[in-house]
Amino acid sequence: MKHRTQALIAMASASLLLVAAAGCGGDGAGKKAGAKEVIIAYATDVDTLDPHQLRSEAAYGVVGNIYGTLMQEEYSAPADGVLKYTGKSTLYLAQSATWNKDRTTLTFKLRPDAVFADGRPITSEDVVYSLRRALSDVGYASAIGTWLNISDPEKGIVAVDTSTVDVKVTHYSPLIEKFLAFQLFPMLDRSAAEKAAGSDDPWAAGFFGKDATESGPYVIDSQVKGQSLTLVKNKAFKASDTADAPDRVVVQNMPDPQQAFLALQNGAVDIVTGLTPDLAQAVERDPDLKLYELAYSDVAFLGMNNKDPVLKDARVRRAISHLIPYQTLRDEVMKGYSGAAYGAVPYPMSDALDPTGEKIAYPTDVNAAKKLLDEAGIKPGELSLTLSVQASDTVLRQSAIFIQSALAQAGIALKVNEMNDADFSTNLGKLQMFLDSWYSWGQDSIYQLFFLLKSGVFTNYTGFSDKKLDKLIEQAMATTDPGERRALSRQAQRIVVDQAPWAFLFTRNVLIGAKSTVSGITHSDDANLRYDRLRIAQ
Amino acid sequence: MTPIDNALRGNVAGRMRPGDSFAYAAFGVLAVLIAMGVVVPLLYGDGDVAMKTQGLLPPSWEHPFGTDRYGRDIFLRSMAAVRIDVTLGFAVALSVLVFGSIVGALSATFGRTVDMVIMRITDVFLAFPAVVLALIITASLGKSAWFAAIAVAIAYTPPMVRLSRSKALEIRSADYVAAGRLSGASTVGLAFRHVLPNAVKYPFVQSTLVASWAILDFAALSFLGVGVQPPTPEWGSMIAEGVGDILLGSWWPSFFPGSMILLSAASFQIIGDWLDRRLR
Amino acid sequence: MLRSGLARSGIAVVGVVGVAVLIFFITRLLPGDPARVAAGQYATDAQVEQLRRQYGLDQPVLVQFGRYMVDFFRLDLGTSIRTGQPVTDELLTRLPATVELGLLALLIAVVLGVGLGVLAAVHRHRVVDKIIQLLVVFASAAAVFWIALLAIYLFVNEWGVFTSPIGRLPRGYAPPDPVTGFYVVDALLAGDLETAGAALRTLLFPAMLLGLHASPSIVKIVRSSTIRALESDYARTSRSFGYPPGSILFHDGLRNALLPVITNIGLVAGFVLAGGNVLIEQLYAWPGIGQYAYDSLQENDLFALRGYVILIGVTYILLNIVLELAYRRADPRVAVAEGR
Repeated sequence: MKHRTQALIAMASASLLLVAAAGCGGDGAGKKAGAKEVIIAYATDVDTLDPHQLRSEAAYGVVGNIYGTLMQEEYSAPADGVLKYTGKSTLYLAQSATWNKDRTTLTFKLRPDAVFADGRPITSEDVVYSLRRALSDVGYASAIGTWLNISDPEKGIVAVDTSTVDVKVTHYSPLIEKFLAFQLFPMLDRSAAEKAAGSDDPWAAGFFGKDATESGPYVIDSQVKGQSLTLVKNKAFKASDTADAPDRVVVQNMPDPQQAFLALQNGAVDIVTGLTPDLAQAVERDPDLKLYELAYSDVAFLGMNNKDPVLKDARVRRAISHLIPYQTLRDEVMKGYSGAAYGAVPYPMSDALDPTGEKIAYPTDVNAAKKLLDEAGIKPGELSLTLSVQASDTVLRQSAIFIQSALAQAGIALKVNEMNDADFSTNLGKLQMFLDSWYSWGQDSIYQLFFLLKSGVFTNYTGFSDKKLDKLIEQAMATTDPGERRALSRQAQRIVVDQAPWAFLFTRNVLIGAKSTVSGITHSDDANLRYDRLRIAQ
Repeated sequence: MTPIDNALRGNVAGRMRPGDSFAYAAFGVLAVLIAMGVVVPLLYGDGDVAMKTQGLLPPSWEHPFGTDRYGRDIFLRSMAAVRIDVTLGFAVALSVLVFGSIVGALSATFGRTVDMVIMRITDVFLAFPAVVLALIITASLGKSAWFAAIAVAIAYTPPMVRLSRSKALEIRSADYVAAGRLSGASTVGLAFRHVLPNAVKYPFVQSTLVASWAILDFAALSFLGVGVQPPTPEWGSMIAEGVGDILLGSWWPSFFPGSMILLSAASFQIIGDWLDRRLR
Repeated sequence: MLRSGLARSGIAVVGVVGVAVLIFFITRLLPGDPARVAAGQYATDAQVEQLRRQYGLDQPVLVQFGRYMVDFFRLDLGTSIRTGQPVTDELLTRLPATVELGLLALLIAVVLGVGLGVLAAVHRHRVVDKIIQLLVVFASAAAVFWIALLAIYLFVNEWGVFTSPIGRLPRGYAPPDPVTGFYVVDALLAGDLETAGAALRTLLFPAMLLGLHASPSIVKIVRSSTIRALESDYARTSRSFGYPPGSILFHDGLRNALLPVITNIGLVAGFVLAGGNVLIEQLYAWPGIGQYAYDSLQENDLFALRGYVILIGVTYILLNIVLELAYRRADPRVAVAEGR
């Protein structure tokens, strides 16, 4: 039995050795000194590489930087580390983009040096395939694709010669060029896709989920599932000058927001995306870190089911809107990193009714609320409601608790129901009341109203239905005149403010923390970082 | 006998024997906690309403544990949480004790086939650590304090079945049971009259430990977001809510609920150790 | 010995199948519609319907169950709804991270448990013993997620003892060429001492927490069995022969005290591999199967969650079989006592 004692001693000495060896490990600084590296923490892992499957934020960030698009967002010169979207699209992989006379055909001519990472030239066939895939049912990008006004992708997207593609639309809309710059319309390698496609997988979803045919500024170097994905510069990429861009970009999965902040603080990561307001405040207090606070029309709202017997009464909805402690939410939950939301189309969205971001439709007023409830025949203590919220959304979860206390002041009992992400999205549309937020790419008012409030649209989760509103949205979608579009949009917005299908809580600013040596944060329309625009001061 | 039997028996037999002073202190702590859990919410409410006072006030005479970000008194909430956490600890321990020892005693008494079936079933359940089993059960049943408690109870029942079975087996072979069998007593009668009472001693000790583990696991489940619903005060979810504040210099919203878990779970363990020594 | 070995394997097979059956029916109860989840929030009903067919979710439960069991025996755990990749592959790529962390934690738990247990036994009923007892109680009564949070804040940001947890290696290190999947071992195989040290130091922090949290049951067992051994007849005999106390401790005390530890390792390993790990991996951004399980739970990823729990259950059963065989080898009395 002596061996057991020896085993114990061996074990003890092994662990001592381990500790000693660990002590010898270098401090990890600059093993790759010289090469410019940026580590970006996201709250999620890169779960798919398919550009048409919008899954996690991290995946979205990677896809946007490994694929090139025909057009790209134009940014103003950097100011205070931020590149702001000018509202216009410029050329990217396309050398030219020209409308015909009656603006029904948009002709793209590819850059002669546009190639995939393996050196194969990008041809018009690739463009046609890529756009058709985006509009197919392989992902839900197709829902957005309808805004390109292409009635039939088979006939509407055609190759003219090896480097020219015609896109035929039913009518012109300012959104078309804007949308084609979205990463939803990236250039994929058709030959690789067709090799991988099968009869049960016509769009090669299995292939694009884990492989990429890079056509953008970065290529995938390696991935450790669940932890990180490393990108390196695409040497074949010529569509923009990436000489000063980071050589390596590591997309890091940091599921716990506090840990992400701590890692930023001690230099283990360079950028943390999607900070909570609390952590943004902590970043601001640290002299070595810089907080980027980017204003978006990302509207947080309390949706009220318009089919609910009580909530279908607009007076009740207005009463609840009057009870929301707007200022408390903006101060205590958002820590000031937010704007006011006037209606469903808040500032700074195009054509918003509120030009400054300070208006509130139903100011906090308990007496007004009580009066409205009384008019609707509801006595204090009679009403009991359930508010559902995603447990993973810290801001909305915290808001729910304040709203709960606020509604109690008018005798409304509110039960808060925290759900996991999947339960929440599965049940949206059936919930009595819910907290959610919505951001429309393109920040277009008609687009926003269409998806959130038009009758019968699947993302109209409150089931709100107003014939006049529907008509206005349809008219606005059909017109090619920006002035008329704006007027129609404003009429529609007024209806929404008056009917109060939601309580319009606030707008959420995007909060990004970075080391003070990092700059080049893009205030892009899709709230995505362009890694090739990042700069590191040595 | 399987290794798990041995291990569990080892767990009980190997319990520390802290001096009586520890045990008295543990009883004292539990008694005070329970008393305050009953009295404080009755007198001062459970601190549920947000915005009554300023958020994130440090501990003071007025707010012994400080206030959280919603301006709720953490002391009041911690005390109100006693009602959920400690009650659940007791409830889980009791149901595990009753169910586990009955099944264990029956398994030991009813011959090979029943025994084998029950043991194979417990084998399957034992293959999952409590938190994992509870996680998947709560995910399936839905989010509620009671479902979480049921899940934790299910997780701790199989080890209890095994323990009481092995004790019952020892007793079954004892002389007085053989005598009863010879005089024609029924199997069920034997199980309840002789085997169970004698076999229940060790499970009883084990159940105090189950109470301690249940409190810990329940807090972990709430921390993961499958336990209680807000704003119900519960220690695990209070920690989850308070962790973000640490980085901004407010350590108290998560520290005090964490200490409450530590105190109550430790008390149950010390009492278990003490009982183990007394009953042997 | 052979017969009982066969019987054991039979029981193991029954256990593994039981695990598969149990998990199928529990996960059938999961709320939400997996097809809807797979399709995403913005999918149309037709897309959802197509996915439902693709995953076979439109079939009757019994048909689904039959398919599931057939796949199970082919080691096919289905396709993850969240990522669209095979669950078996995804689990296997993440498994080394978890096992590496788990093994080190287990080592720490055993060394710490045996050391403290023996120390307490030698100084039984004295101050050292009391202190160790209190430590043990508090280590097992503290919520591991709470301690982990405090520890990261103190050790990383206030005192700078460890680097910030961002996965398996600190910043600036590339993963070694995969051979075993354990970074420390792979780096050593590649002769890269620096990377091995860095990987170990990253590993050490969460492993210490897990190990500390898992050690109490070992301390308790070692303490009581060492006391029993030291107070036994044979120890008394050794003492009367005038052997030095150190020798008695090693030869009479420890070697008998360690037997029950083997069996306890099964329970501790279960905790270390799964129980504590869902929380620890989440907090330490550790790319193991625990984090995978948490993410899957968030997305109601039926197949991934199912695969994870099956992996844990099966591993646990196999581990216990191995431990039991080890125990039989170490202590022939067990086989005799069972009359086999």
